[in-house]
Amino acid sequence: MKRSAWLVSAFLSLSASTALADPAAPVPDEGALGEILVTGTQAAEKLPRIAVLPSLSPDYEDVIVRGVVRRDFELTGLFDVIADEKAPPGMYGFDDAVDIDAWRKLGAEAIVKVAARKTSAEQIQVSGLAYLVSSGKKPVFEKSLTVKKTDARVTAHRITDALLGALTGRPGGFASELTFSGRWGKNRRIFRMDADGNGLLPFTDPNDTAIAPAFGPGNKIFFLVSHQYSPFSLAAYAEQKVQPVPVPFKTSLYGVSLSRDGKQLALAVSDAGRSAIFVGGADGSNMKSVSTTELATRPVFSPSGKLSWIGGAAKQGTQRVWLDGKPVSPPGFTAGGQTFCDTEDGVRLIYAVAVGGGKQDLVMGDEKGRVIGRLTQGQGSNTHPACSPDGRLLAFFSTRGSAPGIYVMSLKSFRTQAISTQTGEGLSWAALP
Amino acid sequence: MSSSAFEPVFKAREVALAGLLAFLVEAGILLIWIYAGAGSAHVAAAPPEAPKEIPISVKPVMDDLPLLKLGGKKKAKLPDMWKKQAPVQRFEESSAPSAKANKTPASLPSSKLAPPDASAPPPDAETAKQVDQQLTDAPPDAAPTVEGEGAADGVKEGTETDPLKARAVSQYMAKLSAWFNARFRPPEAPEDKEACEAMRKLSASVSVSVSGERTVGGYSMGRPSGNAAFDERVRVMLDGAKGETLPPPPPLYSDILGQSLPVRLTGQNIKCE
Repeated sequence: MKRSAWLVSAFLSLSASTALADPAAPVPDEGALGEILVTGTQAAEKLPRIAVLPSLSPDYEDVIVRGVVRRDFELTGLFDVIADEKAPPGMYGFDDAVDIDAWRKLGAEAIVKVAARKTSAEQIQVSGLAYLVSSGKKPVFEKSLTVKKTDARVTAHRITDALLGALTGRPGGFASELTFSGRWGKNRRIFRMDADGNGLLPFTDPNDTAIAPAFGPGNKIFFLVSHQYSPFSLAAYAEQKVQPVPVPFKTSLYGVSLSRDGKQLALAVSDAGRSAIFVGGADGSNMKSVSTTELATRPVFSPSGKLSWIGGAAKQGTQRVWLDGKPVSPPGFTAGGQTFCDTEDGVRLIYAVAVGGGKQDLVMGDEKGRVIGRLTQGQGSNTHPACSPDGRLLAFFSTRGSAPGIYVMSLKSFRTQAISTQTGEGLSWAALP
Repeated sequence: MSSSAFEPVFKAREVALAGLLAFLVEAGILLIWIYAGAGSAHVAAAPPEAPKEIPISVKPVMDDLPLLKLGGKKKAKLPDMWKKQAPVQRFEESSAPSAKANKTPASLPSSKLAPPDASAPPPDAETAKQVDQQLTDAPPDAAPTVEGEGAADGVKEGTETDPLKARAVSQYMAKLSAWFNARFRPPEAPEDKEACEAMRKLSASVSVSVSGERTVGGYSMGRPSGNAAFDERVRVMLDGAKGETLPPPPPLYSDILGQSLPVRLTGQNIKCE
């Protein structure tokens, strides 16, 4: 039993971290990973300047809503948000007219006004307006939501998403949540938090070891859990409850994924020292083996329904990203933690590769796996990428700048900002219902 | 009381001497001013700096926003006090033969005779003995010539009435432009400066067909540049792009990518040494 537990532990380490590559082995030419993306040639593509109007309201909810919206706009990396200190003097009540000319002089192309106003003792109306400087003093977009006071933060994210939709034609993805597995005490637990790092919450039993979370329909979080060295089994968290999910496997599970439409379930299942990917119905019925490699872990569905996994052979010692039955990550590099991003430029496959020195970097390819470029280099170890629901942001764990934590990178401007000091594995990101 | 108490403090001689000295001091100052003004001791005003000619390169920047549609509904209205008042069209007083005219000497007109082919002024027209100039300004607030919704600052060829969509289209066109730019490599700049400048002016117009999966299906060269090397590079680029997937349009305006894309490839960024 102990030997079996050791094997499971070793295998989990292999699948969760690609740092197990033999340190003595020669590091292959990193040129195969593509050139690091340099946007210098796109300097002319200046980020549009926008203003998020200050608010003089002392209401707690108004302060929260405005702070959240402003922070979201800064995180997108899509805009150059004008600093509050540069705001022209004037009245900033919700009903006061916007001084378009003064903001135009500051270079603003668009102006955003948000507010939370009380409608009753328990409810507030959260409003977001967008003005285009070229279109005059009337707002070109307006959205208002009446919600409970306690929902001010998530409503602010929804207002940001709507404003982003108005200004770019593509709604934002801030009304969403992240989940990951991280060490808490002696065991790994599953956490969830908001897209901006707020509201961190561990929800699995501290006496269990929980790994590999993945979102399912209705933001149900599926994960694998082991109690007292028992084989990892499937469980799900919804409505603040953890419940086991019955599947027809008695051996340990190494990974779980659900297709975007929630109709397909993929599991990485151990089998006599090997592992295979099984795909079947969301209820665990009709599970069939689909992987073609000796070892197969971390199944992930692409937005178009293609299946990828991390495959390799025990003798080869190298794991690669497999997509539609073919290896797509560069040969010679241990790869892992793959995810798909439905970006403004199309679907992208992003994964981590071991680059020597126990470090990993993120590499981006197209939906067919062809390497496009490298997203990180020389900034600590960067692992376990996860994409925002709108495909604009990439979250990942990083040890950069001796400040390990969860970082968010704009896939438009490649600006990176920290949102949490938590570290862990198996990051996943999904929109709120 | 002695008589000396009433004696003057200064003698007449002393007063006269003081007056003379004061006159000499004032006259001396005046002479110094005159001397300073006539000599080279005065400070001359700094001459204005002569303007220098500095060559600058002028790059016309095209407004890449989709052209706003001309319309009348959104036309901004100025306050009445700021409105330009309509000029009054006055007509010169003239006389014309009429069968209805009174046949008495007193009713003979004093104004000059109108030309035989002159048209009659409107019945309510204002007349004057002499009109200096013909009015050329159109009356203010002329009704828009295009009906329907649109922007007052739009153009007749414009099609878009939604400023948010116009913005999204602009951003998507920039993305498509970047997509083609990343693939197009114009020929190397010729060493001869004149030939290089000529190459910078080359352009070829192409229509790229887009298939249902946003892939580049094919292309037709509408107007080649006429330069064999340049057109070959255009063909190489478009042949290589066949089967490639174009960037997706913004989800809220997914209809903006049609079945064909007009593309113009130019050599304007070729650097001539």
